[in-house]
Amino acid sequence: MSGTSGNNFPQRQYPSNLIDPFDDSETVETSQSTDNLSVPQAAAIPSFRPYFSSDNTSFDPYFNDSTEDDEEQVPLYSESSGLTRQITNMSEANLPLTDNISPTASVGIGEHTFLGKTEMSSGDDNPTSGGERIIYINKPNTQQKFLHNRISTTKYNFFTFLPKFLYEQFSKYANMFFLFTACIQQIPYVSPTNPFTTLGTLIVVLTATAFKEILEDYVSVNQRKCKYLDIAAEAFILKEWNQVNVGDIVRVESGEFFPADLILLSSSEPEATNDTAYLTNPSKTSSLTGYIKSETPNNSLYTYDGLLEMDGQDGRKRVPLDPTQLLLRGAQLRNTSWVYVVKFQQALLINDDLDMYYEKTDTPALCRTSSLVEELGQFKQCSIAGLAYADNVEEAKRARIVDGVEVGFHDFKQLRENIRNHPTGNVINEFLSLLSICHTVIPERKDDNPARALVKGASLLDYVFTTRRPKSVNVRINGVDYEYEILSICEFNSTRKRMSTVVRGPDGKITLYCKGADTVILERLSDDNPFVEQTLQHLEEYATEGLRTLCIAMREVSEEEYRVWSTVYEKASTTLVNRSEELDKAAEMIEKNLFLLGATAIEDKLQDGVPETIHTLQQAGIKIWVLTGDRQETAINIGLSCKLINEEMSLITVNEESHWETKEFLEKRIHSVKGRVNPETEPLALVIDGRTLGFALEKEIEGTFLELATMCKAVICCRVSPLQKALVVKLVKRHLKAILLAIGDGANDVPMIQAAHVGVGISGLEGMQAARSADVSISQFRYLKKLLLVHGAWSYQRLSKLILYSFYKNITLYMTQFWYAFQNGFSGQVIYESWTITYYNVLFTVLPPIVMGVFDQYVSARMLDRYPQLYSLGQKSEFFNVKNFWGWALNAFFHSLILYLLSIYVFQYGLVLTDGQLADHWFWGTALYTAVLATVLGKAALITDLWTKYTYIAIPGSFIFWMVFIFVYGMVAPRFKVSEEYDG
Amino acid sequence: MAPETKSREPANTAFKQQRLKAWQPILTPKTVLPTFFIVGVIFAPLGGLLLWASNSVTELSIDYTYCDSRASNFPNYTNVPSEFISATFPQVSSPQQYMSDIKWSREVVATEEFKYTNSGVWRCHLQFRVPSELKPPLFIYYRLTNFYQNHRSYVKSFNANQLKGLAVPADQLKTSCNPMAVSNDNSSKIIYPCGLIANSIFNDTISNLTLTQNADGSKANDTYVLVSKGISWPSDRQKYGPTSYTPDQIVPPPDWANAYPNGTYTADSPPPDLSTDELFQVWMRTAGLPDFRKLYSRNDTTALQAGLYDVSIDYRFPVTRYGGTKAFVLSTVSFLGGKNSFLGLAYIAVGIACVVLGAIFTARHLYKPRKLGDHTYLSWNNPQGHTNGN
Repeated sequence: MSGTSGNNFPQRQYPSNLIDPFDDSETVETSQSTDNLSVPQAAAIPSFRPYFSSDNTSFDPYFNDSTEDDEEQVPLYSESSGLTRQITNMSEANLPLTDNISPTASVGIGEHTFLGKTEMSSGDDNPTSGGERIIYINKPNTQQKFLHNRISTTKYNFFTFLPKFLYEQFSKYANMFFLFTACIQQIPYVSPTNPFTTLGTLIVVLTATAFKEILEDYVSVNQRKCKYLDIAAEAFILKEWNQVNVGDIVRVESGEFFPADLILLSSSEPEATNDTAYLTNPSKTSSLTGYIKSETPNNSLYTYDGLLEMDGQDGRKRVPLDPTQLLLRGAQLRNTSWVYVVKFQQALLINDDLDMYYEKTDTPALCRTSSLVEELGQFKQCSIAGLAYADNVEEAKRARIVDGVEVGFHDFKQLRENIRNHPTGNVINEFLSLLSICHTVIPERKDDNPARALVKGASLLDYVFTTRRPKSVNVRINGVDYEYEILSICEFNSTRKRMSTVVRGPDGKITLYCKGADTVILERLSDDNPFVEQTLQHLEEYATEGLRTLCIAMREVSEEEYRVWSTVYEKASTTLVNRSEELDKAAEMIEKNLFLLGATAIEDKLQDGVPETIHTLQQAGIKIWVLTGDRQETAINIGLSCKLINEEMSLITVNEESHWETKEFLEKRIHSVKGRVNPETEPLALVIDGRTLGFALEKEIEGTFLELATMCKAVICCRVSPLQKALVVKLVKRHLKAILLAIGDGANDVPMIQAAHVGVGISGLEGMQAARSADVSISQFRYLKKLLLVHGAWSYQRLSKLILYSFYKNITLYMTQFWYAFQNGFSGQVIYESWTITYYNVLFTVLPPIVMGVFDQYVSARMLDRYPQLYSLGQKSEFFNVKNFWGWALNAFFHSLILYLLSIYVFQYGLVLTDGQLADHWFWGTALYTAVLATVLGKAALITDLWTKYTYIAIPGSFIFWMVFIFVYGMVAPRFKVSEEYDG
Repeated sequence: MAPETKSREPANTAFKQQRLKAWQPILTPKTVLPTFFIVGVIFAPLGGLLLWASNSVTELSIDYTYCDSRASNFPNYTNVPSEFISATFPQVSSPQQYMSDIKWSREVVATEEFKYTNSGVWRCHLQFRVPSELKPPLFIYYRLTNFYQNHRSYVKSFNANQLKGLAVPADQLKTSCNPMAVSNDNSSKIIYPCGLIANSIFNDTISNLTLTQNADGSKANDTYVLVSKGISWPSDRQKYGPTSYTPDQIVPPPDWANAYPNGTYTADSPPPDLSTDELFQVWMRTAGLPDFRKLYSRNDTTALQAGLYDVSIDYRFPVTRYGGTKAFVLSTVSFLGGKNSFLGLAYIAVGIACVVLGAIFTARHLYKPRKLGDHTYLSWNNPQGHTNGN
C-alpha cells in the first residue's frame, strides 16, 4: 500500500509519461507456488489505446494517484469503473464521466492475473468483421502487425526533440514574449539594455526545462518488470514490460502498475471475479485457449466492448467484456484504504484568471469524516403491501383504523410478527429478500453505496446478506443460509432509474426483483396490483418528510420466458456496438407486468451544520440555488430544514405542462412581483420541477425564467436531470456577471460542477466522482463556509493585493525611467544597469508579492467566520476594481516622480564625493535603484497585514540581499565582463 | 498484507494551518503618532547637520561661456556679470564687495595643444578673491550644462578593448564606436580613441592659480599648483593602457585633429597614453544628467592663502552652438562631500512635515478620539454606511 497522502488534490496537465514520482509502493511478496489456488488471474492487453502511445497531454497518467479507490469496484457499475477521459461535448448517456481525475483501476486486495491484448490487424484466417479484432490467448499472435508492448510514452526522439520541444515551449505566451524581447534586445541600435539580460535568462529557463523533459522522457517505462505466465514453465516469471506480448497472461500484484491494457480474468478478490474465475492456477491457465474479440483501438477510455471466447472443460464459452474488466496500462493495482481525507484546496478563481494558490487547511472535524458511513441514509420506514412500517413509531402515529382505512405506522416489531402471521407475510418475505438480494453491494467492503442502507435495513430484520459470489449470493434468513443463483443483473443507470436482478431461488423458481424510482416502477406494473394506492399515499408522506424513496417490485418468470429472454440478453451483452443501449432494451423486455411489493424510505440525514452553513452563506450575500433530483415535496422539506426557505417566504411553485404554459406563468409572475408595492418585505422562493425547467431552459423563455429566479431569495429545482443541472449553471453563467460556484456530491453533479466557475465536490456519501471532477473537494458541506468565507475571502484579498502591488512596483521603477527620458534627449538611455533591471522582478522584489499572496490575512479567520458580511467585500470587488487599480497606479506615478526628482536634486551637477571625485551615471542609477527598492519594499511593509517570519525574509530580507548583492556584484561583475556599465 | 492505514489528515503545522506566529501591525493613533514625532525628531536635526556640512563647503563657480565675446581685452579686466557667478564663501562679510572683485579678460594666444592650426585661441583670464585661507584638499571642476553625455548613442560609443590598449581591428569597432570608428577620408584609418565620447572631450586648459595680491593688499606673484592626477576613479585607471596600434594605423578623432600635425599621429606626436591621461578618464565616465561637473585638477596638500587670484583658461571647447554653458568651479569638500544643500533641506522639510502632521493628528485624536474595535462602525451595523448591501 503506497501512501501518497501528499498528493491528493486534483491533478491537472501532467506530461504524459507514466512515471509516478510519488510511487513508493511496496509490492508484497507472495508465494508463487503453482498450487496456490487462491492466486487468481487476469489477462493483459498491451497498449492498444492510443492515449498511451501518443504524446497527448490531455490524459493524466497519474493513475495510481488514487484518492479514494473504493469507487473502482470492478464488476459493479460500469460508470464507476474509474476510467476517465476528457469530455467536452457531453451527451446525457455519458454523464457520470469525470474530467481530469486520477483514479486507480483498483481491483481490490491481493493479486490478479490478466490477459494481454493489443492492437492488431485483422488476420486473414480470423473470423473478424469490420471494427473488431481477434486476440488469441496464450498463443503467439503471429498474424498481427503490432506485437510488442514497447510503448513510446516518450514525447521525443533524438531528431524530434529540438523542434518539438521548442514548439511546445514557445507556445507559451510568456516564453514567446521573452523570446521577442530578447530578439529586440539583439538589435544594437534599438535596445538600450544589455543584449543578454533577457536572452540569458530565457536560455537558462529553457535549458532547465529541456533537461527535465529529457529526464522524464528518458526514464522509460518499458523496462519495468511484471510477472508473466510462461507456458512452458507453467509458472509466472518476471519479464520486462516491453517483452509482454499480446495474448500473454500476466499476474499483477497489489501495488504494481498494469504493464499493458489488460482484461481481467480473475482476482483474489471475490467481488472482482467474473466468469473466468476458475482459472486460478498457472497450469490451468496455461492450458487455457480461446480468443478475445475486441473493438478496434480508440480513444475512448470509458467504453469498451469485447468478447472473450474460451475453450473450457464444458465446451466453448462466451464471456462479454466491458470496461469493468478492462484495466488500462499505467494504472496501479492497489489496495484500498478507507480513510477519507479532507482536502481544502484554496483555489477560488477571481475575476481575473491569474494564479491559483492552494493550501491545506485546518479541518478540525477530520475524524468525523471517516465515520461518514455511519451517517449514511438510514433505513427508516417502509411500506409493504400497503402497510406502513417505521422503526420508531410515536404513540400518536400508531396504526389505527379510521373510516375503514388503516392509517399510521406499524413498528418493525410488528413487521417481524407479520411475516409469520399476517396475510401479507409472503409479500413481506419477498420484499425483504429483494432488499438483501437485488443490489450490488459487496459485504466485505465498507463503502458507501447507497444500497447498503437497504441491505442493512433488511439485515436488521434478519434477512442478512452474507456473501457475494460471481454467480450467486448468500442470504441468511432467520439464521438459515439460502443461496440465490444470480442469473443476470440489469444494472442501474440514470436513464433507467431502476435495477433488477433475475435470480433462481433455493426453491428453483426464477424471480425478477426490481427496485427503482416510483415513476419508472409504476408504469411497469401489471394490472393486478392491490397495493398501489396505499403505497402511493405512503410515498407521498415519505416525500413530505424529506425521505428518499424507492419502489420495490417483483415478478415470477417462467423457465421458458427466461430462456428466451436470456438469449436476447446474452446477445446484447456480447454485442460490440451500442452495447449499453442493447442491454437497456433487453432489460425493458423483462421488466414488465411487475407486482408492487411496497416502497422503502431512506432518511438522508443532513450533514452536520448544513442549515447553519446555508444561513451563513445567505448572510454573506451569496445566492443559493438548490438543484436536486428529489421529488418536489422532498426538496421543499429539505429546503425548509436547511433554512434555505422559511415560512415567511412566499413560494412560487412552477409545474407546467408545456412550453406556452410555462412562458405564460413565468411572465405573469414577473409582472405581479414587479407590481408589488414593496418587494423587499416579502422574500420569494421559486420551486420548479424538472419538466417545467426543461421548458424554462428553452431559448425563448430562459431569460424570463432567469429574471424571475434572480428576484427570488431562494431557488429550488427538483426532479432535475444531471444535464439540466449543467444547463442551469450555464444559463446563469451566461447571463449573470456573478461568479458561480457549484457544489455537489454525486456522480450526477459532475456536469454541473464542471460547468461552474468554481466546482466544489463533496467526497464521501455518493462516492468520489464529484470530488474528483471538482476544483476543490471537501468532505462536509459545512466546510463550504470556511472554504468561501475564510479561504475565498483571503484568497481574493491576497490575489488583489498581489496583482495591484505587482503593477505598483513595476510602474514605480519604470516610470523613473520615463521621467529620465526628458533629461537624456529621449534617447532611450536607461538609468539602471541592465542586469539590475532584470533582477528587479526576479530577485529583489519577487518575495514580497509571493509572501503576501500566501501568508497575508487581512482579517483573522475567526473574524471572517464571525462576520459573513465581510464576504460581500469580495462580491462588490472592494479590493480589486478599476478605481483601486488607478489608485495604485497613481500612487506609483507619484512615488516614481518623487524618487526621480529627489535623486536628480541630490545629484545635481554631479554629486561631489568626499575625495572630490564625482558620481557618474551608474552611481546615480544605483542610488536611485536603491531608493526605488526601499520605497517599493516599504510599501509592501505597509500593506502587509500579517507579518510572519517569511514576511521578514521577504521585505527587509530583499533589501539586505540587494545591498549585499550590489556590493559583491560591483566587485565581481567587471572582472567577468558581465556588465559594461558597472565596469569600474 | 496488512493494510497500512496512512492517515491523510493534513499535518497540523503552523504553516499548513496558516497559524504561523505572526505580528499583526495595526495602525492606531498610539503607534502612528509617536512614529511621526520620532521621524520628525530624527530627520530635522539630521537635515540640519547635512545643511551645515554643505554650507561649510567653500565653492566658487564662474560661468565663462561668454568670456570670448563679452570680456575686455587683456590686460584690462571687467566685472563678470553676477548671473555668471555663484559663490559660497562662508567667511565673506560683504558679498557685494566680494562679487565686485570677480573680473574677466581675454586674449588670443597660440597654444601648445593647438600648435598645428594657424589661428590662435582665446585665453580667458578670471580674477577672483579668496577671502580667507582654504584648507586642502582643494578642487577645480569644470561644469557643463545642456551637454547630454547621457544620450544613449553617445554613452555606448566607445570600445573598452581599444581603450585598454588592444589593437582592435576596424570592423570590430564599427558597432561599438559608431559613428566614429574610422576616419571619413579615403584611408579609413582607425580612429584612436574611437567613439563619440572620446571625440568630444572637454579640451579647455585650466591653468594653476596665481596669487596676484595678498590679503593685506600687497602685490604678490605666487603660483598655487593643482595637478590632474588622482582625479579619476582609482578603478578607472585600470581600464586604460598604452595602445598597441602603431601610429600609422590610426588617426586622432576629428575634433582632436588640430593638436596633431596634419591631423595624424606620427612618431614625434604619438597617440596619448590613456593610462596616465586622467582628464580623459574622467571624461569617459559619463555623467547621468545633462548638467554636470567634472573634476579637472586638485591640490591635496597646500592651503590656499587668502588674496586675489588669477586663473587663465584656454577657450577651445565650443558650448554656445548647442546652447550650453561652461563654468570654472573652485571648491573644497566637507566630511560629507561637496556642496549640496538639497539633501539637508529635504530632510528638514520631511522632519518638519512629520512633526506638524503628528501635531495635527494628535490634536484631532485628543479632540475627538475614536474607540478602536467599535462594532457599530461596521457597515452592516450602520444604516448610513449600508448603501449597496443586500
